[in-house]
Amino acid sequence: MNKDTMVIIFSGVFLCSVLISSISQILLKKSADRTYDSRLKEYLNPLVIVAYIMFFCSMMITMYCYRYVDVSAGPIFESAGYVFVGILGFIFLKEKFTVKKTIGMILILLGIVVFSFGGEIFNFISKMFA
Amino acid sequence: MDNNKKKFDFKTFAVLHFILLLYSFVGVFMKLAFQNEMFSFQFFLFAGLAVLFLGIYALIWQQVLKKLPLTVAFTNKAICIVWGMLWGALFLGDQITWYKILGSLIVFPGVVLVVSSNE
Repeated sequence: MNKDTMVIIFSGVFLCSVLISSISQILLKKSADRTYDSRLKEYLNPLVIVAYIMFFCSMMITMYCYRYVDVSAGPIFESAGYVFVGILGFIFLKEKFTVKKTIGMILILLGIVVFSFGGEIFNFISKMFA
Repeated sequence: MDNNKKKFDFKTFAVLHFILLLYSFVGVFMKLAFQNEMFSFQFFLFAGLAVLFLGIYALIWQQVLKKLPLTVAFTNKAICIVWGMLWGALFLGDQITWYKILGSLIVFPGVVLVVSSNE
């Protein structure tokens, strides 16, 4: 497979890794909302342990993705986390979906597309009008 | 929240931006790790630095959040987009293109809107 294809595949894997880390955030929040009878159980309960394992896996996957993905793309792809947490929070934590939040999430997704495929989109559009 | 009434806390902001700078290097170290043979000395050196910087960042970030509203902290975190592009270009030969800059300029207000929507 050529390098560009690998970059696209691993950009996708990077986004999946951000999703895994977002799910771990939701689990941590779920755990924080509960009350425990001891300090120790606040840290050592199934939710928190699974969350940290997921977070660790996400770190490893992200690290591997950097073999193909540019460092400059990292923070941009990570911002997809705001979108994932927004959607997951709505489904699992019944957090509100406001107009402001929705517009923000659309902008983040749009920005990621422009950042990744801006050159291709521009070429496509300029060919259409050529 | 009555954080608006507080005076601008320069020290906390300095600490915040210091750890964001550390955080921006995590990706650089991860990338450098894989530019070496996997499981070689250099691989573990850079991977170790990535984990170290991430750990310091995470520990201090927790403390910063006690002094700053989440919205302010996360909005400032968007500076990492700029650092990422800069380090990529300086140390790893990433190209900065107009569409990467445009994409970042679209993502930034998106992040600000999302994080401020919970207030």
